[in-house]
Amino acid sequence: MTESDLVAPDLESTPGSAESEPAMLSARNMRASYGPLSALHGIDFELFEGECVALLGANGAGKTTTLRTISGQLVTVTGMLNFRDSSGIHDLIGTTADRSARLGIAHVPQGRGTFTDLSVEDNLRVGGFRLPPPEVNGEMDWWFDVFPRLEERRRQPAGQLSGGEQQMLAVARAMMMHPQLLLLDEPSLGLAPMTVADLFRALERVRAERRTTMFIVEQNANVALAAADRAYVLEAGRIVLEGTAEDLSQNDAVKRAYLGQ
Amino acid sequence: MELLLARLFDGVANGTLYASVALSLVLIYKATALINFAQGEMAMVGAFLTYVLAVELNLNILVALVIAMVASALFGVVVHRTIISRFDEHEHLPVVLVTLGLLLALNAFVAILFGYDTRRLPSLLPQGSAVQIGSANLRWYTLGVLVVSVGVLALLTILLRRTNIGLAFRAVATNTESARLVGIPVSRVITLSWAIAAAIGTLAATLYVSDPLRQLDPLVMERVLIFAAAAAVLGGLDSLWGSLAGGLLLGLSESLVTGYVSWIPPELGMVVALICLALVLLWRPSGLFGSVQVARV
Repeated sequence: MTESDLVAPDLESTPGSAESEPAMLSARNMRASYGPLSALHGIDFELFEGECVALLGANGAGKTTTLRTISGQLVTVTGMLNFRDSSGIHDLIGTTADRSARLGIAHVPQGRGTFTDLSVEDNLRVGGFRLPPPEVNGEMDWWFDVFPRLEERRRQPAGQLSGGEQQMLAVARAMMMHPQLLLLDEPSLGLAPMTVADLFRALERVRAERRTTMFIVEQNANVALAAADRAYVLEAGRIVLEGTAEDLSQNDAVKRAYLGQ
Repeated sequence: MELLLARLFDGVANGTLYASVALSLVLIYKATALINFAQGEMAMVGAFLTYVLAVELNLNILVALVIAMVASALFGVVVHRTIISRFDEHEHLPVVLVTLGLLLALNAFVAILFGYDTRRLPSLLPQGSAVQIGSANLRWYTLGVLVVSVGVLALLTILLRRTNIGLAFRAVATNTESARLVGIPVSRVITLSWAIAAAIGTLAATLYVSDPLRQLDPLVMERVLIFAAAAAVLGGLDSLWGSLAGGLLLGLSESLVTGYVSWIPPELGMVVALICLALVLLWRPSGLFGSVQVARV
């Protein structure tokens, strides 16, 4: 065994100790509110480059709010929230949606947020708005390879797609931005189990080929824990559990509350 | 027969002008779901600027028009940046009231500077008749306005369909939140639509008052704005070509009804046109070409 094997941190199992590789996204005592309504009461979390992390919790626990703090949407945030990329560390407290997008953070909102009047192709082009124009077509073809059903419907308005197809389009559109970090809000919501499986297989492929860091909010804990390396559990605006996906899926409290066992 | 032709020509001439102003309303409506009631007065100010440049400073009328259009575009940017964008985009009523206030302010401003005397603008288009059939004559002016209006529509359609800026505009028009999430500078896109709308408005107003049969005064656009707003609604509010159809339909119904129904005096032309509008909307609530929401949820 060489020395490097000893120092190379195992990111998936011991993220907290990975001092040689600081987190891509880290929150400390982060609080968020909508006007007088407090939604997050001081949470800490970290995401490391290339990781897929799930955020679990019931309705109203603050999962969507957490994603909104990162992508800069309509929340008042205090505490610390830093995003690190090759150019340095960026403070995300009080960020705006287009600044977060320019930093390389793509957010697939709940309900998908596709441009329903625009064709499938135009939706993807909007995602690639900041790419150099010659790259856009090649990039689009790559996504048609991942989601062949989108190619069949490339000229149709996105509003005519099925729920599953819209979710695929939303993911592809967000990924057209070449993000460092992909935020997914309830991607499985309202989809048939087969479609959910298809979607998560595609996400696996994206991770394998692009090493995109992912933060997935889910109520469907089974699916999320199968895809993620680590997970946090939110309850009423506080993080009550965290650990590797494997550990959490064995945890009795998680099993009872979120895995339906 | 000749009378019919004459009335059709009249209707087309008015209709295309309503359509051009309607187009600037539609542009801003598409981006922000807001009707800018000051659009007509902004255009009137632009026409006065053309007048000052062309008549008082003796510039060529076309040069004067181009300068006035650029100045109006800049004015549109200033209005959006300094006033409109300060208001919550989800609350329409306050902004509508602000545009109404702007309408009155611009009107008073021009009245103070120029008074209510009517002024003549040199014609932008060749004078005389292109086609003469008996007593009905199709004036070059009517044809010119039609060509310019269709040309502006075609250019805008190309801008929206074929350019990156147009794509950004359509994205903002469809889903503002999602447009922000992909990094489109939404506020700048909306500012740009104000600029383009203001320039088109000035073009339309200048064409309108440069008709040898009309004159320029601070009140000239009030009537036009009402027709334009009606044309925009008739066309579906979010359809560019719908605004042309709406404008033509209103212009024609105004001229035909007051022409043929002897007991309706010409003064009631506007009322007749608005009744036509109400009837169409009863039959098609989202206008002739308005997009009906088809999205699955």
